[in-house]
Amino acid sequence: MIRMMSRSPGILGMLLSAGLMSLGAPVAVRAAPATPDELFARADEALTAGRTEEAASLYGEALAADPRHWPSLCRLGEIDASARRYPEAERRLRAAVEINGDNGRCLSRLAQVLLVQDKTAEAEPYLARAAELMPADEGVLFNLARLYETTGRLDKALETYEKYLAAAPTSSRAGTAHLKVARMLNQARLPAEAIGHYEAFLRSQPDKNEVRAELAAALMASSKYPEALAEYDKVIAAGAADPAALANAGSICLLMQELPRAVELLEKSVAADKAPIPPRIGLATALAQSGEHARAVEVLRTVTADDPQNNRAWYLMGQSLMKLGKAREAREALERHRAIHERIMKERMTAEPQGHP
Amino acid sequence: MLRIIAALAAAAALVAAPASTGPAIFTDVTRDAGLAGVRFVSGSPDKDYILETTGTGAAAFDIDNDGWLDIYLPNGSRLDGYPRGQEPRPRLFRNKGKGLFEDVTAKAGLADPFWGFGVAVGDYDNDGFSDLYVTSWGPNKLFHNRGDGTFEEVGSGAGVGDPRWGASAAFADFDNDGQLDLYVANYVAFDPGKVPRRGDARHPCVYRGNLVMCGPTGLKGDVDILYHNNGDGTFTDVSAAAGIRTDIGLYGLGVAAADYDGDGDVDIFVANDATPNQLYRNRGDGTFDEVGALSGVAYGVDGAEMGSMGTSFGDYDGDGSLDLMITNFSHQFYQLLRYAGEGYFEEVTAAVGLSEKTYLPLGWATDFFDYDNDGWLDLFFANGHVYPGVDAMQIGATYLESNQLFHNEAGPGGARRFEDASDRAGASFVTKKSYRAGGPLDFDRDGDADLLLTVIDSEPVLLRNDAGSSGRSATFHLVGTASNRSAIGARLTVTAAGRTMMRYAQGGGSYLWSRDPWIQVGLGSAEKIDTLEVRWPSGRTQRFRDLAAGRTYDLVEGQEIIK
Repeated sequence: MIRMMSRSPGILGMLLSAGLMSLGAPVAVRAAPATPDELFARADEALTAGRTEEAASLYGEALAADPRHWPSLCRLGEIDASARRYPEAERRLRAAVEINGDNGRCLSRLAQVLLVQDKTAEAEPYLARAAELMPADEGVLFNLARLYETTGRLDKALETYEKYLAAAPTSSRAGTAHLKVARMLNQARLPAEAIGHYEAFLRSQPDKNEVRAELAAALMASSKYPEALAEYDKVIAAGAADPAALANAGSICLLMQELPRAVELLEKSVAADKAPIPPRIGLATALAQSGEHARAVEVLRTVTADDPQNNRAWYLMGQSLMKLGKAREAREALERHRAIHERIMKERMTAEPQGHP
Repeated sequence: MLRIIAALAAAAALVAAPASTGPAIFTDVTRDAGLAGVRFVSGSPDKDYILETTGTGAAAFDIDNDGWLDIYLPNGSRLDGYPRGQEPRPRLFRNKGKGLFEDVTAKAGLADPFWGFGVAVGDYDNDGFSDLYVTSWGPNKLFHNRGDGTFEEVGSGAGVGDPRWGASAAFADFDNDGQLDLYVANYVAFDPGKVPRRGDARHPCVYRGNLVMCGPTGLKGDVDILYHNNGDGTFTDVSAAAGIRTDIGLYGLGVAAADYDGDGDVDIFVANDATPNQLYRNRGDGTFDEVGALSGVAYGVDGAEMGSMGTSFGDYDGDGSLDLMITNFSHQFYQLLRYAGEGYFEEVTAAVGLSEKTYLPLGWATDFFDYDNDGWLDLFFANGHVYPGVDAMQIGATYLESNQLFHNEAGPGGARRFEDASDRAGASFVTKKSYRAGGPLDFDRDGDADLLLTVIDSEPVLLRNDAGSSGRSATFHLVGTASNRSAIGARLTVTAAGRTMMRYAQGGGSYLWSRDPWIQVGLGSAEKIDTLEVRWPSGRTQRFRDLAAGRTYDLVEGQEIIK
């Protein structure tokens, strides 16, 4: 910090520079050559005013006066980066950081330049140090979180995004951060914690139905079924429900014994995508529970045609056939079920130990 | 999505019922009754192995025929053992009358420690005193009641000291020869040297992505055993000859023995964890056909295997036939299966209102019992998860859970429904613990059914029923003569005030639990029983008339005089 203050023009330097200019110098006295800090202050003024070339020239003069004037190196690096001259920017920023490794802004800019050039591993220590120096800087935190995320360190990414959200709860990227956190929590099998982040994202972007479907799935995983169904209903009302969302909503209705709606939704899911078997099993279950055994058998026959080893389908078919009074066919189906299931059980008991299914 | 589709759940389970302002149905009298100081041990609190998760059982039976139900509580241990003299011990509490108990474990000769689980009560040698069979991790024990307040362990000599890990067991006379046979449900073949410890990096076992103890999946199931009573104090393993499955062991936990099809012989239902449930239909000679899938009791309503734990038979709808209750793992409905006749059951869980509130808990003990003596069988469920870390999994389940009480009521059109009465049932139905075994018993002989429950790694809970006096009742102590003396398998048909009720003396039932099969019949406001018909296991039928309510009757097979 002491080194930084000695090199940086700071407010004092800028005031001094401005005062000299306003007071003017005696005509008889020849003006002393500007110090690097004075040149830097003038350069910053030019840069702020959008006179980039002038600023670059003045930063160059400061460096000519003091080749180790790291603030000027840093600014020139930033100008290079803005102009997408990344190798040059990297060279200058590295030089600045080499002289002073404790300036958060400079470290952050170097990291950004490295990231742009896909030098992620090289960027990480600079960004991490910048985050230490500027723990509430939303840009640094966001970039660091993204770096952790892209390199698969989800625990650290999660922690850093959460710091970012604490530092910048209303920033323009807060919604994005909430969504990232929600997805990471979901991936970490912490759906209940993900819910609040999904909801925060959806407050800013309520029309993102694919995210709303994710929220519904997280609610479902947390056993919050009515809330999950309410979210699926919004997705369905928006006409944005894919077959999986329809299947999930249908299965919740099945769980809640809203059988007509379960049948309707599961039928829609199956009509939209005939391939997956679980929605067909769900549909058959809903039909059988509604007393529509003939239709249940019809659905189950499509399952056994596609997957002759599906023991659940054979079992449910046997039960429905029995209800239809077709005893011989029922016994045949149950015998198919038994034979398949015997094999499954034996395999399961000789497999690696596991937790409860 | 597979998991989502397979899931069965309901909304109202998540909505807490409002607290009742009326008096509680049950009062915890564990300490006042003298049962304090018992602490069950089931291995480590972290539950590193499946052996440590299933809890310990309980039994209520009259050891000295004084008319008061005494209590036996097996205890567990831990895998690294205890210093000699410090082992957890089973306990026998003698009911001194009026529901006060004294510890008579040492005097009764039951103090030797072993890792016990389930209990079956029955007078296997027909000497007039109820005996005790206790399953174990290690040789099972048969404690013969000498009739003088002491017991003798005769398991090995009697041929029933099987060393496999037993769970629930049930006495019943499967071949109607007047001698109680024995069915033992075995869980998994557990060898701590071979089963990975929870968190073992080489063999991580996971549940929904979280490290948990290993099993039952991937562990070999142990086959169940049917012992035939030879009538000379010994038993013979007749499993294979009788048609009990011996080629592969399923994960047996609960057993109930009853004549579900009303053909005069006792059938067997086995509640299996993570494998299909089994229903052994008795051919009439003590041999069986397994008809679980055919009869509709083997799987869940969506055809999936359930993690079944406890089970019980009872006629909840008053149609004169035995229905079946099964408790299951969390995120599976418990199942009420109504007997529809001709060998078939239909699942009515949702129709009777039980689906919504039984989806998230993990259930163990359950039984049909008429807690308010209104003549309709109610239900209780003892709940508690197996994974201590389940709360952190954020799946809506918790390790500690409250029990549930459901009242049998008339629904639209007169169909029976179960209404959640847990909010007015008392502290045990609000206080969350990890409950396991237990069942109903009238320990204070006031004519209503109390409850005894075990809690893993904690104390038992004795709940006195303070609401049953709202209805009248009559209690029957059955004594078989041609039939087995315990009269397991007897069927009572009671008519009172224009209603007919059927009650059955089942073998086993609930979870790791057994009770002398005394039968209590709630009579509502009726002052007397108009007719009572007893069909004894031997096939003999006796009829009685005009029995006053509010009394306990000793019915001896073949005797017309009721004491």
